[in-house]
Amino acid sequence: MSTNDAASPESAVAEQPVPVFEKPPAVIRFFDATEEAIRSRLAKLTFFQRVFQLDRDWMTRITMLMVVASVFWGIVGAFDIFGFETQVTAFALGQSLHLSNQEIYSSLTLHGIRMLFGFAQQLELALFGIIFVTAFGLVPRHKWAYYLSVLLVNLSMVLLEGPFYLFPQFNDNYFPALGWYFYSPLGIRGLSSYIASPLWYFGWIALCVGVILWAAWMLIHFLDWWRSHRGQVRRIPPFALFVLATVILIPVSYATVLASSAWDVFNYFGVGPVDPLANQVLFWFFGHGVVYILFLIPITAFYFLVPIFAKRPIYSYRAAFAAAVIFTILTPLLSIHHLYLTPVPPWSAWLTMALTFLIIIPSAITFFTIWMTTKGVKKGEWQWNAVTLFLLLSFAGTMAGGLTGPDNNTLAFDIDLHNTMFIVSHFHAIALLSIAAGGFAVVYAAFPLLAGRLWYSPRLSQAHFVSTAIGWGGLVLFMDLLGSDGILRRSLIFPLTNAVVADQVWLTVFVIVSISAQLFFVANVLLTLFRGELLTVQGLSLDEIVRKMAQSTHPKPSVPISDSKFVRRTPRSRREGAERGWITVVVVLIVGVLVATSPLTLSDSTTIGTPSDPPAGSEYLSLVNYQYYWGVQESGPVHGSFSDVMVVHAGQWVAVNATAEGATGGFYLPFRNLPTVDIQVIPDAMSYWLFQAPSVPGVYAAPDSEYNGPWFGQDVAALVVLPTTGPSSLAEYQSSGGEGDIYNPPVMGASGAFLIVDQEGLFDNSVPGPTLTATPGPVSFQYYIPRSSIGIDNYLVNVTSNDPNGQLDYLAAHNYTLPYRLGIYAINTTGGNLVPVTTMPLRVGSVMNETATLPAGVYVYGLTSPIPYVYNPAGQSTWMTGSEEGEIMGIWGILWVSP
Amino acid sequence: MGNPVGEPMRAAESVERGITPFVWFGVAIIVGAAFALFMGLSYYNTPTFTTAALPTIAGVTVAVVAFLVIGAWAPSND
Repeated sequence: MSTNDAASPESAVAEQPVPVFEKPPAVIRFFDATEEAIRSRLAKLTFFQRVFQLDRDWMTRITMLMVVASVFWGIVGAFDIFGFETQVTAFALGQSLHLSNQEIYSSLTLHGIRMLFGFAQQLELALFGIIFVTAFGLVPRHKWAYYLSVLLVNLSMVLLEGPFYLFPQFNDNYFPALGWYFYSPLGIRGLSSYIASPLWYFGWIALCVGVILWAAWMLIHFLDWWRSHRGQVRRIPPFALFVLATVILIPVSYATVLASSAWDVFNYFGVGPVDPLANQVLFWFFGHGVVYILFLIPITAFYFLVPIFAKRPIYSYRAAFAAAVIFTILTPLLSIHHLYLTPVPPWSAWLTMALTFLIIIPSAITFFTIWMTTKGVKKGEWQWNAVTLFLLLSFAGTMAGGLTGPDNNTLAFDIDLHNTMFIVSHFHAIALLSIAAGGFAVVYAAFPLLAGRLWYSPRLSQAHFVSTAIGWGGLVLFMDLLGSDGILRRSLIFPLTNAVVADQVWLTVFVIVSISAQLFFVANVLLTLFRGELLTVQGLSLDEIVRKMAQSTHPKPSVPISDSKFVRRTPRSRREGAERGWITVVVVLIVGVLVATSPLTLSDSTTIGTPSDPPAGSEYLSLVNYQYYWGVQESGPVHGSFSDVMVVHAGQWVAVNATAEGATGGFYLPFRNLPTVDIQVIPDAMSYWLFQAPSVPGVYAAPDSEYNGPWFGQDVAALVVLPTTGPSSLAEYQSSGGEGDIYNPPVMGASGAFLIVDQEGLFDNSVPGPTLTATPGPVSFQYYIPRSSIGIDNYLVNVTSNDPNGQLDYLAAHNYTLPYRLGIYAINTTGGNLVPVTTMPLRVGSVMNETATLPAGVYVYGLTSPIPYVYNPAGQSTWMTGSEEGEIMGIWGILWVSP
Repeated sequence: MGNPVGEPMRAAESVERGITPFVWFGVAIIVGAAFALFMGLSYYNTPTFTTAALPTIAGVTVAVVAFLVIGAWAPSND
């Protein structure tokens, strides 16, 4: 069967006749009658009639409902990222933040959730459903199962959004701040400082059930078709192979997240033990699968549309078939490549790396086959309308995003990339330039069929394409540049260097361009619905209908839409010979890369998963991540217990073993001139690393690389590298740029230093605060906590109240003095803890002078132990709404006294 | 904006001009691949780049070149 064989859309989407002898159940009759009553009333209003196509068959109606819902979630998701990026840019430019940390990270979470599942996946389900039914000439059945699936998907979006209070006081602060994916036990009551509402987990379950129901509906219809056409069909159309792959991958992938979410729900209510590592592995079977489920949008678009516009069959059907089969088999097996830095068995990391390289093969087949399908098409036979332009963008975008995949997949390289904006860039190259571009190609090719009208404005579609390509290209580029700068993903707090600030501002500009570009599309959709020319399809094949619809996006259509007779001249053996030659090259290259990278991969993954045998004289660091700060226990040449401070000697070997109490964290020492240290730290598991400390004494920042709640930005520790012998100045450290890592705190002289606390509760927007230098003798510097810095994000004033001025009222009632002491503390390297040299009460609104006479040595200044904080706006936190509490350490730094 | 659509073909506009879609898609491959290689190479100054990253980046580069060469050599879809 080719796409030309398909039945006309009218017959395809006709209502199913009900046999007279078989009445539907009463509940179905009730639903039908209710729907009809609502439909007939709303259909009288032109707006509803046009937008929801209320005078059409139920399959068209539900598809339009899904399209409208997906556009709605897309718009909301765009506002989410607009909110996030503008706040991050505000931080970069030193401006006030108008959203709380909780709200900012919620924006990011909901952006991911709404875009991936409310927008992209729902659009995929809608389009695949209608195209499948239309192309196969199916009579859709089980209407209410389909409606239920759509209801559950959209209900899940509402549940995942979290609760809000309407009264006694409106409060919408309980949006989830978890990330589009979440690492159990983040958010689970009793196990995590940040607790999400259980609605979050119920939302995941509703999403799973809804999407699996859709896949079951599709499968039932496919099996119906298969049974009724057995023996008559020689080939399933290539694009349908990938629709089928989607239908198979959905239950396989969603079953795992259904299991992990159910497990989380049990844990949330205190039933049964939690195994965070097993839960994460389970989740990532889905986390990886869903990306490929969405990636099948552009793949299906290529296989469906390129042959139609090239007016010739696909280059090699057997190659396409092989690609579909390999995609389907390998996709569920790759979850571990998202967990390379967790303590998984080394063989599983290596095996996943090898399998992930193998999944390049179906992509390589697909893109070679699609490209070759166009070979031989003459200049005048092809038209660059919105459909083909977006296909071209998707083709380039898949190259840009897909070819960075092998970088991620190389475990030893992944250590440098894993938690940086590189990943965000890679993901958005795939999500936008590949998936969304392919999705727009399908929408431009299919929407007129739903609307019953041709596209209204070719100019708007051109403007949409150009502005979208510019916006998305710039967005991906500047995400990558931020990654090259060394910026962690999900960072709200980051070093304010010129390059970082400039890249962040440009990123926000391109986010705004990307969002604005979609206004052209929305305008064209609305104009099409209300003013578009009616689409007539009598006597046209499906391919001709698609060309006719696409042609309406070209201002001067010049290529006839009619099918032309195609006579195959190049024999299959020659075409398949080229395919085989290409795949042979790919396989040889994969083997070569695997051989070259395996030793380091096995070495690194072994290091993460098993304790090493460090050389004599090593420093042993036992780390516990308490969600927002590190507890440090040291043995070796340096003995002691510290918070957020690790003390080693220059060039010394350092053996780390680390775990977490609370959510999963990440121990990250992004030396740019030494191998990066980056390991995930998981509750109930132990992670290891052995590294050599820098040879240059100084203060090296160790940000928590794994997002673990709304205050994760404050969670930065410091590796204090002491000179091997005697006092040493920081001159060499400064001249080499702190070994190249921009996270290292700035260095300034203590004399005259005036440290100001910002609204995030940090000294000079930096955590740790600036490293102060002084010579032995009297040392003096100043702190200042402005009253204007006190707000919902400043954890120093731990007061929640219905009164927005509650924090300042508390201060006034307590003489602007908080129950903590700032000070200078000597690092005792031979046992014990920090030794106070001088301390003073922490006061808000007055300049505090810190003065002491100090011998050469390294000191910690500020508030050197974590303080408790509760985020409870309006006092309405409960276990049902979610809550946030923890211990945070933000105003501190290192004082370096040397001759 | 709002030009009429679906109008009959005008013979004068069906004159062939520009480059073929095969070439345009080839350009798309080059642009996309160049971007991907740029992303990887931007980490050239990391200390483990030669051992950890270079084999993969070199493999991707060779693959892109082979893709273009084999594609150019392969018989057309006629």
